[in-house]
Amino acid sequence: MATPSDQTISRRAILQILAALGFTGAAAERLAATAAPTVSPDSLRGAASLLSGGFDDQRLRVAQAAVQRNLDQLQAVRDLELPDAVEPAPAFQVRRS
Amino acid sequence: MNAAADLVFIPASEQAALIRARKLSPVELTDAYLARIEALNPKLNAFITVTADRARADARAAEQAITNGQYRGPLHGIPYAPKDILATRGIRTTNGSKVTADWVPEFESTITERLAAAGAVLVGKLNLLEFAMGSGVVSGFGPARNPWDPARTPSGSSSGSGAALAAHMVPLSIGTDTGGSIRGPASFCGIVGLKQTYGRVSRYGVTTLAWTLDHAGPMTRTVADAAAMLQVIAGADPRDLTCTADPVPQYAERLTRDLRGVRVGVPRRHFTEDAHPEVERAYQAALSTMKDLGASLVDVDVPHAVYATSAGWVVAMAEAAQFHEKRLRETPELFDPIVRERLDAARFYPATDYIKALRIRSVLMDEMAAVLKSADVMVVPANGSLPGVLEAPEVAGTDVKPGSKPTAYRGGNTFLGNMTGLPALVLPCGFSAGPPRLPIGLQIYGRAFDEATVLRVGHAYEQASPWHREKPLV
Repeated sequence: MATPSDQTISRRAILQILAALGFTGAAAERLAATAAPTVSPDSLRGAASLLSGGFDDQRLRVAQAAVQRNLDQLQAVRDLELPDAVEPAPAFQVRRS
Repeated sequence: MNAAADLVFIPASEQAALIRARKLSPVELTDAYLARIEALNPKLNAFITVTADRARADARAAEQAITNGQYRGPLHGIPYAPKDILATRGIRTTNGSKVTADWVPEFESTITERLAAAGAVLVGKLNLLEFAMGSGVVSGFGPARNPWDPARTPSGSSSGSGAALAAHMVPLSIGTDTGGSIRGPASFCGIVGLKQTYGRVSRYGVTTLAWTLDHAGPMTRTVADAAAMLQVIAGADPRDLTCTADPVPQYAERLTRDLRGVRVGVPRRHFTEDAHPEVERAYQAALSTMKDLGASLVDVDVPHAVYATSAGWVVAMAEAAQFHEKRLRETPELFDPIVRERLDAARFYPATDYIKALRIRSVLMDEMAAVLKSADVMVVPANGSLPGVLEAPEVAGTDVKPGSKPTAYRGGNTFLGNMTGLPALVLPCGFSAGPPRLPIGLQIYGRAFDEATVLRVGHAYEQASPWHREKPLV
């Protein structure tokens, strides 16, 4: 059986469709934000088992709501296409002795 | 009102001139502020701790030294109070949290150490949002209130600093800024806040929110006062490896009353989208004033500015979740619910999202570098909105507000400064019509380590405008 996330068309696909229709930029991004996947308490419970420190049911419920709320924002960050040459900002610096 | 009480309405630079000329006693000045703190703090909750005895002793010592001809400079004998997230040896440092409510550090932050060496008089520690990221409502010490309307937020996280300065409870403060926590309160409280270049001022002894975004800087009533404070606290510190040895210029010498030859960058998109109409009007009027002062306005663009806050949030919360991991594991019940919610959620952010956010940071740094080749500064509204009413505890305790919708882009014009590390100054540029009349802030971005130009532009605008002379009715 398909899960809710399987049924959801991806944000990137929506952006591509909107671009083909001539819609780009922030407005298209906002429209595509409606395509965020759904986080279930069970999926988060599975992820939590990999983290050190316990999440009881109450904390997991709160975290689930917060993660769900942040997904659009995370997805926007993920969807931005960057050239391979762009490195992460804080540069590693060898410590001289 | 008597003459002693009126002392608190004079800018620190003028207080300093009187002290230097021995026409004003640091003891008298300190007593005037302590009396005002005692009168107003029950209403505004700006101070967590008042160090009256120590302040009077330090003021007496300053007076004695000045009498003996040992004047140390423009902060000598001037009262100040830092946000209660800067470690002060022997003085409780709460971080605004029940988690560290009884912490008495055995060491001193570099900033407070340098201010003490300059003769500034510490009168207390100021309220804040818990660990610089909470609600301020249900965290350790309750909300600081906005002097322009105590039912409203002074913004955060340096909430007590903004409130205390606006209410003339202190002439100088230090705030911290990881996504806008100096500049937000400066905007909402109608005062001056400077987030200088990352690396310009040591963060040693400042409790971390996010290592790669944290700044601590001056909050004052005038731009000249911010310049004087930066002069004292800037410069290399071997205890903070991010703190650079770049030379520190004489900021006061660079302050002028005109803007001839200055190119002011004006972005035509992103920064004013969804802005309150009164904010937009005040912003346009400020640009017009700058033009009248001799500046040339040039169009600039930061194509990915819309990503600054969303990517910055990922960086900030991921680093904060790591910093607080042990405390969150051991005493989760002591945290402000919204802090716990944010930190718990951040533990599920994949490392790849964090790295992607850091790559977006590189893009933003390149774009701002290009902007600041065609312009000397970039001027935008500090904040698109006016101060809102303080939320009820049940609302303030969560980001998942009833009826609110998630958004891919967190708004705001300040996170860009933290993501790029560039200096940014906020100062008042108007008020809403009201009632209540509420402050509106202007933000001036500049080149890395060029705080001098940012301060020059801010000072010239300030001197040509009336806003910094307005007083709240509290």
